[in-house]
Amino acid sequence: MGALVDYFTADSDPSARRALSAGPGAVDLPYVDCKGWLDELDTLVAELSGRDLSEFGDAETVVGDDEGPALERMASETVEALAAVDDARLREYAEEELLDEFEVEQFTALRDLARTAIRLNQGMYCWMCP
Amino acid sequence: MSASERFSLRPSPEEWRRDWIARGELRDQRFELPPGVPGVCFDRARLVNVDFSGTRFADFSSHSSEFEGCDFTGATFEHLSMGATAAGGTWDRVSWPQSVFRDCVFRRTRFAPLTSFGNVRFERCVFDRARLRQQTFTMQAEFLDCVFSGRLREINFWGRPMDEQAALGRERNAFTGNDFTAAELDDVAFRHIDLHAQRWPPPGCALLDRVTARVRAVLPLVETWPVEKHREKARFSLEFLAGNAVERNDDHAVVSPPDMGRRLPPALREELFEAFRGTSSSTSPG
Repeated sequence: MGALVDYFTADSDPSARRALSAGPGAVDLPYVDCKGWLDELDTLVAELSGRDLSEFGDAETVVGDDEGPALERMASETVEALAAVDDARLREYAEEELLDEFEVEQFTALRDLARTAIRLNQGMYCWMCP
Repeated sequence: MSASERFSLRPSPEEWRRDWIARGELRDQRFELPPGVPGVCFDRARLVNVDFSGTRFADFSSHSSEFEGCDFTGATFEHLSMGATAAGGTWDRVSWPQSVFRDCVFRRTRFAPLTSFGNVRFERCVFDRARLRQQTFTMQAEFLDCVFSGRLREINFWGRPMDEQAALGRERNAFTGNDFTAAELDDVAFRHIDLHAQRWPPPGCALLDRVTARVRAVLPLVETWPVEKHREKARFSLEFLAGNAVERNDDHAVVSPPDMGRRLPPALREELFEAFRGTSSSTSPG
């Protein structure tokens, strides 16, 4: 089946915790479903931005253990770098990586989610459910 | 397949199937799917110098078929089984005939993630900047004298079939003479494969022996680093590298600076890689 992975925005860790049991969609938080096509956000952001992976801080665990659903808050550098990716770079990346239309839409949605987080001064979180 | 059998492309007798069945021999022409047909299953077919370039296949499967000198440049495979167990019905699990791709070109070809390669053999094929990522179902695939260029990401190559050895009729997958000198390897594993039987290294990599001893030799250097987070990441990566080398490749590995810890600052990665490479004679220059 594979783990469920959603990235979402929330105004605080307590707000984000509301998503823990059933995911951000269940509590009407804006999210992008990344199951199966994205493993590590900061790796993607490093590729999109041309920066080294070590420049991004580690995601902080908000809630989590090895068995149940978990929440991580993305490092602010990661979110800012993702939000700064423009459409031209996304198109270029799609060409480099031979992405299909669905994947381009997903990457664009993820970038837009980061922009929303920046605009509303919110955090960007990852919800994972094994 | 009889070499003289005329090529045919017909709807499957199984009404639920969308893909059509191709049989017989096709030579020296372009392959076209009929309008509205999303995919094809090649069943005991032989394709010679056939042009598949730019074609989008919703389904592409091959059972006991041969493709020689075929061009898959720019083709897209959404669902793919290159060496299927059967062309239809239920597999008897007794035999699993092999499909062969010989002297074929996969240039900027898009392989679907999690493709089932199946029992397939690639001979002298070119994978040029093809999208090869997350190809983890390659347990029965054989590669001989193929050339890989561009990025290969999250792929396992297997020197031994994981199961079904009796149906396959072999306990080893042939994997020799493959050229990785122009490839960028990103999380690529060579499981039980003779690394010395391939052409190395890709830019910035080195084929190294005595990996476990090298790990032991460089750990004191890691302990001199002032930041615990960096020491921790390096130790983890080195242990991972040594464990895999021992388990899969007789204590050999193709190593690059990111193997020292992808999240380490570049200067530390390079320092550690140089120390790692220099602790004992490498078997191929990096």
